[in-house]
Amino acid sequence: MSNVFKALADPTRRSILHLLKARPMNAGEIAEHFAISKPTLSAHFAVLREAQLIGSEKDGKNVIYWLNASVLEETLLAFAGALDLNMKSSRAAAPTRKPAVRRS
Amino acid sequence: MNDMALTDMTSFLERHDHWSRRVRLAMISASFAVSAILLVYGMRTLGSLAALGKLWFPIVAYPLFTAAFWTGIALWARTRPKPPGGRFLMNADDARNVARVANVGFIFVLGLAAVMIASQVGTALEIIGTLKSLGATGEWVGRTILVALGALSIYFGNAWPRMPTPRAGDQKPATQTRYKRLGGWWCVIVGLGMALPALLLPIPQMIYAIVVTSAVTLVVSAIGVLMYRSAMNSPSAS
Repeated sequence: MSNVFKALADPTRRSILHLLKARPMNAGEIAEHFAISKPTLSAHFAVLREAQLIGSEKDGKNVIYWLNASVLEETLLAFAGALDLNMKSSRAAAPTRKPAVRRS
Repeated sequence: MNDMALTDMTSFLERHDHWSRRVRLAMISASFAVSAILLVYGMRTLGSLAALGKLWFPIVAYPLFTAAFWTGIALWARTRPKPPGGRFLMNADDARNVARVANVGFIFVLGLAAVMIASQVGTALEIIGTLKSLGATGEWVGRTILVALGALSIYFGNAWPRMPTPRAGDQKPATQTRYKRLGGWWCVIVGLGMALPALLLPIPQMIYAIVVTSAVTLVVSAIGVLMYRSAMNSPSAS
C-alpha cells in the first residue's frame, strides 16, 4: 500500500491516472499532455506500474498503458487530489514574510 | 499486440470454473437439505400441512431463488465468447488481474452461499420461535445478513475495475473502461446502501432504506446494462 501512496503523492502521476480513466493510451498520447522529458515520464510510469495502478503492454514500438486501479485506489486518488489542492490554496492564502534585513 | 512472454491462464480458469460449479451445486443442495429439515420439523411440531403455511417462505423461496440465480449465472457464462483456440493467453498484467478478480469472485460466491443458507436458517428459526426462546430477536439475524451482503458487494465491486481492459480498437476500449469503472463503483455504492442502514438505522427506517436501495439497484442496473449494450453496438463509440 505504501507504493500506492508514493505513486499518488505526485501531481503528474495523478494527472496520468486521470487521463487513463478515459481509455488506454500509448506513451506518446500521454506525453502530449505534459511538458516534461520522456525519461522523466518513463520514471513516473515505472512508479505507477510498481504500485500496480496502471498496466502496460508493448505494441510494436509503442507501449500502451491502461488504468488498473481498484475503487479504493480511485477514492485515494480523489482524496490525494483534493488534499493537494487544499494545501496549495492554504499556501497561497498564507501571508508571506519578507526576509529580515540585517544591519551591521 | 506483442505476443512475447504470454501467460496461459486456461488451466487456472478451468480449475476456477470447476470449483465455482462445485460451490454452486453444494449451495443448492444445502438449501434443499435445509428445506427438507424444515419441512420434517414443521410437520412434526406444527402437526398439519396447513400449519406449514407459516414456513413456506424458507422452505420454498430460498431453494428456488438459489437454483434460479445460479442457473441464470451458469447460462450467462455459456454465452461468453471463448478466445481463438480456446486458450486464454495474456500478458503478465492481465494474468495477474484475471487471477485476482477470479479469486475475489470465488470468495464472493462462497460468501453469498454462506449468507443465503444462514438467512434461510435464521428466517426459519425466527418463524418457529426458537430465537425468542433463546432470548434473542430476529432483528440481529436480518442486520447481520444485510451487513454481510453489503460487505461482499463492496469487496467484489472494489476489485471489478481490475478486469483486463481490451486494447484493440474494435473492442471499444474507452467504452469498456468507462463501464468497468462504473460497474465497480456501483457495486460499492449498493454495498454501502445495504450495510449502512443495517448498521445505523432503527428497524422501520432500515426496512424502508433497504427497499429503496433494492428498487434503485434493480432499475439502475437494468438501465446500465441496456446503456452498455447500446454503447457497444454503436458504430460511433470508441
